[in-house]
Amino acid sequence: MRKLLLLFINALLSIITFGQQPFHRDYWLNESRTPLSANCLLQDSSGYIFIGTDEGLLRFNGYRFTKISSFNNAPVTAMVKASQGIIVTYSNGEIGTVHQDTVQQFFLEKTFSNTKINAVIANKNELWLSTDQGICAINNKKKTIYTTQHGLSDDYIYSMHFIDPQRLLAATDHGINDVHIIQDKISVKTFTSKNGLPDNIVTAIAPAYKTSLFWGGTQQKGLVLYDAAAQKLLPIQSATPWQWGQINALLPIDAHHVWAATEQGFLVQVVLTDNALSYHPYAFTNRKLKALLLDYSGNIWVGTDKGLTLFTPEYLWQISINAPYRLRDITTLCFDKENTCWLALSNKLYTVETTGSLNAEKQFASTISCLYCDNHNRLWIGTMGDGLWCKLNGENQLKKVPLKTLNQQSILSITTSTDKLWVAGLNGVEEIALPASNNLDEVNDIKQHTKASGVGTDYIYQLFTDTKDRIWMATDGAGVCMYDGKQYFHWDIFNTKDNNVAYSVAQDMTGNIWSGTLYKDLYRYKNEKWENIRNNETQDVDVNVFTVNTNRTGQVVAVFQRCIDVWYPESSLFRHFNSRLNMGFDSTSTVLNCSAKDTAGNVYIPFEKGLLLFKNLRKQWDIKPRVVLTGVENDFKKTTQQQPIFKANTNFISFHFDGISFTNPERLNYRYRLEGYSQNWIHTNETEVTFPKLPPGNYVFQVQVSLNADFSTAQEARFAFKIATPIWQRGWFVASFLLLVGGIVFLLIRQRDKRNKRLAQLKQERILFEYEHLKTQVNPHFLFNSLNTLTSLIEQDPESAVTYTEQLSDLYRNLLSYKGNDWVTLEEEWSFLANYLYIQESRFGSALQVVKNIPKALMKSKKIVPLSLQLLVENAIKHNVVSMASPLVVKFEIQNDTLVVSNTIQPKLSKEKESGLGLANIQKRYALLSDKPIRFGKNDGVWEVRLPLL
Amino acid sequence: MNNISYVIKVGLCLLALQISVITCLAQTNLYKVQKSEVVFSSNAPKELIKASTDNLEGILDIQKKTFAFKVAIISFMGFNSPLQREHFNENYMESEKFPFAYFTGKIIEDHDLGKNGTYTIRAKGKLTIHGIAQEKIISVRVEVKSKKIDTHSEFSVLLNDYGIKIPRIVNDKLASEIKVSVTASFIAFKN
Repeated sequence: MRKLLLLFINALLSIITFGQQPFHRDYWLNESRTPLSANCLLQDSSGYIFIGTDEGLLRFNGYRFTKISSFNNAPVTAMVKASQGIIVTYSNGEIGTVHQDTVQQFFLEKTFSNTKINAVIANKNELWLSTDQGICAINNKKKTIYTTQHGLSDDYIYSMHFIDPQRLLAATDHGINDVHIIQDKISVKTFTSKNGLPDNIVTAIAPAYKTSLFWGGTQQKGLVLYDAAAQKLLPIQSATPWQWGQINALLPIDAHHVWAATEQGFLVQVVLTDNALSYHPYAFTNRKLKALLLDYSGNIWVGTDKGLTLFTPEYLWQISINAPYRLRDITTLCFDKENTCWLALSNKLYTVETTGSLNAEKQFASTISCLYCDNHNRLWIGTMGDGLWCKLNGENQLKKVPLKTLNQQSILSITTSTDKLWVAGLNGVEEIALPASNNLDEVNDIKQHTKASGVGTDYIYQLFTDTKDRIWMATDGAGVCMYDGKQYFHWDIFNTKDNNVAYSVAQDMTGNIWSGTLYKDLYRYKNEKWENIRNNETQDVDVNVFTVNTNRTGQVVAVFQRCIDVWYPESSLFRHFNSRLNMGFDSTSTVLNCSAKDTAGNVYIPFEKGLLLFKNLRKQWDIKPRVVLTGVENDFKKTTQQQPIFKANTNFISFHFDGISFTNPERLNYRYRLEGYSQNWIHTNETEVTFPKLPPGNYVFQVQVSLNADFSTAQEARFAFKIATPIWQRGWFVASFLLLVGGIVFLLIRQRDKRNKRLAQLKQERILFEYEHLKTQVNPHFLFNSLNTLTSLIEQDPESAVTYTEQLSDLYRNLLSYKGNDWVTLEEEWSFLANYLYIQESRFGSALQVVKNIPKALMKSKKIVPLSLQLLVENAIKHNVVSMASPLVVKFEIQNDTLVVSNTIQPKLSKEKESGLGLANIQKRYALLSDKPIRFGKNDGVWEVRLPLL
Repeated sequence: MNNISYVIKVGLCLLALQISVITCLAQTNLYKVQKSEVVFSSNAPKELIKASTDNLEGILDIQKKTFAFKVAIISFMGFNSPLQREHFNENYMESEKFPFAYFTGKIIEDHDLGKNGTYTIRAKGKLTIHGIAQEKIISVRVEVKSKKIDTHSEFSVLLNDYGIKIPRIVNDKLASEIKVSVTASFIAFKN
C-alpha cells in the first residue's frame, strides 16, 4: 500500500516534464482599473477573501470587490484570523478588527507611533506583531516589545511563525531568531551567516508540512530549511542558483512543494526532493508579488502591486506546442507507457518534446483517426482507409497489421482486453486474438461484432475496456452497448426522436461508466442505472459531448462544443471552463474522443495553443458556493440583533445576501423560503428579498446557493425572527378582557336579582297592606257606624239610603280592584276616596270638612300609591275628635311635587286601639317603589303627611 | 509632516553621531567620508542627463554596523544646461524645502570591516529624498585596506516612490527610474 502511495506521489511529481504553465487571470481591484497594491490576503470562515490594499480593506466574493470602511486610511499591511475576529494591521502602526462592514480600532493602552507592522500572527488570545522596531506581543490590550536589547539579532522583523505556544521563529534583517517565550521574558537563538545561513535578510517564514521543518525565504538567496526540533539549518542544494529576487511570501502546498512569490515578479514553484531544490519560475511581467493564498476551491491567489491574480496550478495547466501544431489539424493523441505524448495532425504522426516542439515520426497515406497504447506499451495507430498500424514496445518501426479484414479499413477506435485486440471500423468491431509472441503476423480474427450479430449498428465511435475486461461501445444508432464476452447489453436511454447516439465512453476511478451523447448530454452508469448527470445545469446548455475522460483522482472531464466541464464528485458539482473566464482559452477540439491520459492519470485535452492539462487533484477541492446573509432590514433600518422580535404593525423586512464562489461566480443562483410563511422555495438570481406586512408569528428565513438547479447539497444561511402579536391578540389581554366582561355580567345579574327580590318584597308588602286595609274596612266599629248611619237614613231618607248603600258597596269593590296596582293616578285615588268620604260625611255631616286643593292637570298626570289617601283620612278620623263643636278639617294640597295631607290635631280622650301598621306600610311601599321618602309629623298644631308624587 | 519630522530626526541623529565622534575621538571603529562622488543619470529616450557632486558627508560605525550619510541636493553640478539645474532644484527636488538627501541604516553582512579585504555587503536603511523616506537595500562593494575603506555602489531610484512629479511634457526627456552611483572613501576618525 505504502509502495503504491509512493508510486502515486512520484507519478504526481512526474507531471512536471513539459513546458507547462498554469493559467492565470488578472483582477483589477477598483472600477477605475488603476493599479492598487494587494499587500495581504486572507479567506475567512464564511468563504470571503479579504484583500489588504494600499487603500484599505476589500472583501471579495469571487465576483465583486466591496470596500470595508475603516477608522484608518493607511495601507493595510497584514491580517490574521484571531479569537477577536479578523485582525488588520496598518503601515502606520494602527490595529483594527473587522466587524461586519467596518474595521474598528483595536485600542491599546499605548499606541505605536510610526511603527510599521509587517505581519501579525495569533497565539491563543495574544497577537504577535512583526514590526520594524522589534517583536510586539499584545495581550489584553497591553503590549510588550522585544528588541535587540532582549537578545534579538535585529529589530526589523519581517514575519513570524509559532512552533508551539511557547516558541516562535522570527525572520529578521539579521537571520532567523528561534525565540522561546517564558512568561514575559524571551530567550533567543540566532541563525545568521555565521551559522551557515546563506543570506542574513530572511523575509518570510512558513511551515514546511513536515514535522518541525520550516521554510525561510531570503532577500537574495532563495529558500532555506530550518529544523526546529534539531535547532539547525538543513543543508539543501539546488542545481541552479536562485535568481528571482527577494521572497515576499511563501505558500507551502505539501511536504515537497512550496510557492515563493518575489519582489521581482516571479512566482516560483519550489520542489524539494531528497534535500535538493528545483525551481519552476512563472513570470508576472511588471508586477511585484506581495502575498499568496490558497482558497478552499483550489485557486491560488496572488496579491501584486497592481492588483489580484488568480493562478490555477492546483487543477489546470497548459502545455504550449509549437508549429506545425494547429487545433484544427489535430485528430487524436495518446500517451505511451513511457509518458511520451503522441499526437496526430491530419496524416502525420508526431511525438511532443518537453520543450513543446514536435518530432515528426511518420507520414501516413491517409488521416490518422485514432491512437491507442495498451498495457504492453504497444502503440496502435488507426487510419481512415489505410488500416491498422502498430509500434511494438522498444521498437522504432511502425508496422502495418497484416489482416485482410483491416487492410483498407477506416478505423474509428481501438482497445485491448487481456489477450484481445478490438478494432472498430465502418463494418462493426473486429475481435482479434493477440499472440503472446508479440509477432504481428500471428494475429487472428476471432469474430466480427456487427449490427447483425447484436451490436445494433455497424458504426462504433469508441471502444472502451473497463476494469472487468468488458467492452463498452459508444455507437451511432444503438446508444451505449456493452459486450461481456457472451452477450450484448443495451439501454434504451439515449433515444431521441430519430437518434440513439453515444460518442464517448469512460470509466471513473470508482468504477462508474460515463458516456457523452449526441443531443442527450452526459450520462453516468452507477449501480446498474443510467443517470443524466448534467440535467441540473441551467446555463450554457450544450448537449453534445464530444469527449469524456477521467483522471485518477475521480474528476471527469467532459468536452462540449463551447465549454469544458469537470465533475467534482465531492461537491457533486461541475467546474465550468469557457472563454468567458478570461483565462485565455477560447475553443477546444470538436474532434470526437480527442483526449489522452498520461501514466499518472492526468487528462489532456487539445486547445488552440497546445494541450490543456486537467491535473489529478492533490485533494478534493470544495467548489461548492457559499451564501452569507449580509444584512437584515426592517422598515429600511438595519437590524443587528440575533433572533429579533419585530412589531406587528410596522414590518417591512428585507434580507440581503451574498453568494461566494471562486470557481464559477457567474453561475450562482439562489433559492429562499420563509418558514412560518410558506414551505415553498422560491428561485432567484437577485440577492435581495423583501417581505411586507407579515402576520404575527415565528419565522425562519433560509437562503441556499448553487451553481446549478440542484440544491440537494447546497450551503444555507438562515435567520430566525419573530413578528410580535398585537396587544389585542395576546393571551394576557384576552384573559383580562374576558374577566372584565364576566365581571360586568355578574354585576348585572346581581342587580337583577336584587330588583327581583325587591319586587317580591313589594308584592308581599302590598298583600300585607291590603290585608290590613281590608281588616280596617271590616272593622266592626266602622261597620257598626256605617250600619247605624244606614238605619237612620232608611228611616229619614230612603233614597239617600240607597245611594249610601251603593257607595259602601263601591268602596269595597274598589278596594278589591286596586289591590294589584303599584301606582294609581291621583284621579283614580280620589274617586276611590270619594266613596269613603261619602260614607263618612253621611255619618259626621259638617263635623268632617274635606278641603281639596289639587290643580286638575295634576290629577291625571301624577301618581301615588293606591289607598294611601283613604288610609290617611281614616287615621285622622280614628285619632281625632270629630264633632260639630270642633269639626275635623282634612286638607289636600300640592307643594313642590308633594301631596300634603293635613288635619287639625284634636286628640280623642279614649284612644282607639291602634294596629299601627297603616302609615308604616305606606312608608315601606314608597321606599320600595321610589327613592323619594314620605314625611310626616306635627307642624303648627297640624298633623301633616307629605306624599311624593310621581 | 511625518517626513519632515523624520528629516529632523535624521539630522539629530547625525548631530548626535558627530557629538559622539568628538567625545570619543580615541575610538577607531568610526569612519568618516573623506572623498566621494555621487553621480546620477537619467537615461530617457530623448535626453541623457547626468549630474554629480563630491559633497557626500557621513559616518560609518564598523562595529555597530550602522551608518548615516547626507548629500546637499544643491551641490549637484553638470546638467545639460543651467536652466535644467534650476528646474532640478526648484521644480523637482524643491531643494529649499528639502536641502538634503539622507541614507541611514545598518549593514546586513557579518564581515569584519576592520580587516583588510574586499567584500560585497548590503546596506539597509531609510533613503530620504524630497522629504520622503523609503526603505532601501543597497548592495555595496567594499575594499578595506589599512584603515581606509573604499566603497562603490550602484542603485536606482524611482521618482514615483519619492513623490517627485514629472510633467507629462518632459516624459521622454526624463526617465522615471534614475540610476545613481556612489563612490566614497572613508578614513578612521583619528588625528
